[in-house]
Amino acid sequence: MPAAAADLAALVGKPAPDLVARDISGENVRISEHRGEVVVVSFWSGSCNTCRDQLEALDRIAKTYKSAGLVVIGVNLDDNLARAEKFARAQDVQFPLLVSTPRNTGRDYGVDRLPMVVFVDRAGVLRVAHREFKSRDEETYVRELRTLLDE
Amino acid sequence: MPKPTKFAHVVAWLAFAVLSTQAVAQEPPAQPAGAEESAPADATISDAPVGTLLSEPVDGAEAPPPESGEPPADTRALDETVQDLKKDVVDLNRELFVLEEELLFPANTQVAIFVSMDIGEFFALDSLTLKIDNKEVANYLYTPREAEALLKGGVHRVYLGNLKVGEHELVAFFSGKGPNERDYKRGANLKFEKGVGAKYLELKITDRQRRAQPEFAIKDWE
Repeated sequence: MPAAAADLAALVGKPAPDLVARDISGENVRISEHRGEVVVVSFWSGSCNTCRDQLEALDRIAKTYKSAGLVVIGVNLDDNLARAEKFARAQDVQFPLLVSTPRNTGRDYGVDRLPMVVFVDRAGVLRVAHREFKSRDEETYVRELRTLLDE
Repeated sequence: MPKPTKFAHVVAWLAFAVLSTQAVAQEPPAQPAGAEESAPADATISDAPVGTLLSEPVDGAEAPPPESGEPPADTRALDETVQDLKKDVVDLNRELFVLEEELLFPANTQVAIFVSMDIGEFFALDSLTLKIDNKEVANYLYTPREAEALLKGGVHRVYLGNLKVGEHELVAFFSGKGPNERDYKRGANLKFEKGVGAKYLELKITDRQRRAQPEFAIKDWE
């Protein structure tokens, strides 16, 4: 198992690392502020095409389950800020897309490929992590998120 | 010996069922009226009216006094034990926290820096960078919720660390939105003497009404 994959596996079941960054509208967003809600953190980059599909799928899920306490946050891991901002502005999503993220974010979450998504439960524990994205994954996301929302 | 047929089985089962029903109907209540646990031992689901719990009395037995909704004694005892355990865990956690702070930041070297805001009409705090002796020690981004908490009188401990006895310099850079929603960045600095006790410094953001500008000050809590 690659080091990052092992890191990610070790994170599941543990409190999610805190993360604070500015979104494209200039507002600061902190993950730990959403304790009590189910948080989906999607890691993306301006050069990743599949990330766009994943963000669209997460936007659909967010719209459906927002009232049940679901929060989705997109986190950029692209070093090229201009490209990341351009990518973020092109997305038609309702949730915050954090652009200028701290350098240690990817390492903290054991990100080794993009897109990657993690689900954090209402107690702030990282419960699920998925690498890459295929269209049929949306169904899996919904099933898993419904379980977390029901807890 | 000939094997009993299926029919014989059915007849025997029916006879048993009829006799059992009669026995239940004739049997007096097992305990005096009003006594607890008065459900007859033979009560079955079919004996009880729809929606009745099996522990409640059936035909012929008087209803016990209305229950107060309290769980049985053994469940209560278990609940109390669990609550005691939870309290112990919370106490232990607090003690560990204090011990950790004492070990990591002993009183003779401890320095704590707090942020407070008053009014905030001319400044919306976005981020804060702290330097002690020209070395960056903290960089904090404030979310709208945190900034609102500061405006409501909250005080945020932005840094906790250790410093040697002697003279030091603290520089704080505040950034956010100033008057007329303009990007605003200001600094404040303070030279302070660290003695043998803990040192507490407060970064105060206030409004200067006369100049319609925010004011940044560092207060040394002796």
